[in-house]
Amino acid sequence: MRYAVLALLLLSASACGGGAMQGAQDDSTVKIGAIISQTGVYSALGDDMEAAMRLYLTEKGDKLGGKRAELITADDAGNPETGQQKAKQLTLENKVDVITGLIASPVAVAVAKEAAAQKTPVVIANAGADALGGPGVFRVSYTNYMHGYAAGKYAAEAYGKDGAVLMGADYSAGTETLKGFADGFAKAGGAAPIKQILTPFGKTQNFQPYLSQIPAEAKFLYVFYAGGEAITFAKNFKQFGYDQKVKLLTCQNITDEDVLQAIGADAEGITSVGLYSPALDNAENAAFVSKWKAKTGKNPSVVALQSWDAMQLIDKAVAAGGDLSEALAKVGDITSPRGTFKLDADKHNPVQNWYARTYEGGANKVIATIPPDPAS
Amino acid sequence: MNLLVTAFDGIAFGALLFVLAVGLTMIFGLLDVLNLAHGALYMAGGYLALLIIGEAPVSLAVFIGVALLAVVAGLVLGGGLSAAIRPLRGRGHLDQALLTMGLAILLSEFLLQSVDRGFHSLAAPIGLDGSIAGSYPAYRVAVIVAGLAIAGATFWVFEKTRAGALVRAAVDDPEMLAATGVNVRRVRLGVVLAGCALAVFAGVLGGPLLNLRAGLDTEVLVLALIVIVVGGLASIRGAALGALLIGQVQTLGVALVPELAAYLLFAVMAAVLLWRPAGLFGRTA
Repeated sequence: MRYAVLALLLLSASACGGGAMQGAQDDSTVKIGAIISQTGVYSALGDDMEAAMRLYLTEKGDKLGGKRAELITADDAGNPETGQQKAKQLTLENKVDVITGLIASPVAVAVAKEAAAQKTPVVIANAGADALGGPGVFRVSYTNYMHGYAAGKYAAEAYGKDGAVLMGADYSAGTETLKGFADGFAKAGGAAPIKQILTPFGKTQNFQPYLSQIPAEAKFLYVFYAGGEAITFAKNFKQFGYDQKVKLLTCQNITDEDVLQAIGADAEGITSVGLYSPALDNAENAAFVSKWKAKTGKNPSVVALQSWDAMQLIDKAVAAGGDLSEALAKVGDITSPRGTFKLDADKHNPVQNWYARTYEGGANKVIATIPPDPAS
Repeated sequence: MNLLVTAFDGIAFGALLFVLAVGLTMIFGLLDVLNLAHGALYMAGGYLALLIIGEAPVSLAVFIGVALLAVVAGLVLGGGLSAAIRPLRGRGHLDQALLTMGLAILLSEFLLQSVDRGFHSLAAPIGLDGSIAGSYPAYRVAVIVAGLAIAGATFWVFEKTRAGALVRAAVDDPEMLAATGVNVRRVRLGVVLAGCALAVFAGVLGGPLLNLRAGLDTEVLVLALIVIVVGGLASIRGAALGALLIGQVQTLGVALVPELAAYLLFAVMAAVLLWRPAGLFGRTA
């Protein structure tokens, strides 16, 4: 019932906002519709996403590719139906040229469907579902599979070829990441994981009962948790003394900026594999980190970086001119704070370096670079 | 050995759940109001502590001081709740549910606005932030001790004092109690204040265990509702047993049958209700 009330409120709010927009096509302006979780469980990520996009626009004098840029945000509340509705509104009423944002995968799937129907390209700045991507859909973040795959390759080199135990939240992002890990680990000569522990998604407030299932012969543990579960996991792992019993490798979300402060001292020494670290040593990154810090006082999160790059991709495509969907596919190398990356020709997913990072003294220090597979 | 640790951890969760749920069950028993703002009150305790002490460890004395401040805040919020629900007396459960739900949304959104929507967590106070024998967090032992102390105090008040006798009488037969010259309204107010104070206090106690974030209010409210439904409405004994049972289901149960972890809580609730429809200690009207 609570959701019904919320939905009513949202509906009335969006109905008020929608009418005021006029839909005149204007060639000198590029309109970007950003579907962002401004309320709901993903709203903290949403705040970073919007801040990074606005920061990029401010940096470029509110212009993308030489045209005046207008960013119109819409709240999906973490809900696919709401997201789809907002996509319809943005394309039909606001006549946006491109849709971006998209934190949760179910929302991204619904929005991509709607955008395809309206022939509007989509640039995904976060959602990781493996199935996304293809004609008209471009992704500057990662797929869950690639996230795990890179970690698997690294683990086989750095943690040994056997005794792997996998643990993660039982939903698509968790299982896809763990599947990627198992494949990457096998590709690099690792044996099949000896156990996989899945925990109910979003309901687990205590990982002790699951940690107690790690077999004694385990040599290391790879885990996928994000947001609140990442905090609880990191604290439980340390406080129940598992850091003394088994080596740990994690996904990037466990030591991302949105949770580090809450984890506190228990984050010290955690090694993770991710596509970015604020500690990366390149000129683009130094500039990005200092701009972000000046605005927020914090290190940029992975979502902030991805949202920055989403705007960068749109910027370059608009500059190239012609049909935006075709231009987005042809952008080529993007010089990002994460290092140079490009989108693959088929699914438009990023081909990028991954980094093993150890959290020490307030920073995710990069200890190894994992290049993309030539084939992937 | 591992299972023993797990079972012990279940007691820690049960202790926290008891402190949270006992107020909810008494408010329902006495006022016939299901306070859906109870989870938001818990959340208020956590965010109050976060605003005052932040996320770094503080000394035990400061932590206890903040917990006492939370009790005061709970009394104030309880006064507000009491005033808000008075006009709705006798208007049925649906109106009260809508009102308390609305208050819950207002309070939780206010809390999120006053901090931010991100994830936060309280650190255990200095001295309790370590682990016992390197494998069990000391703070959780302190939670058990605090839970036992509060349970003992609650039982003592209800069973041994005149105030407790008045409350029990007000649950059983408010008209008769009023006829003997007791101001029942005042008894009701006292219970609402105490229940709300315990909920806000629980928010500080649970701060180092459950993360502070958007949605926390609903999550703990559901747990508290399950506890009192399983234990039986308006029964302190029921809240205690229900809390311990749900604590074990969430820990030992999950460790024994991990495949069913997602459904276990509701399966146990359904089983208890089939066996005793009014809950373990509930009285059928």
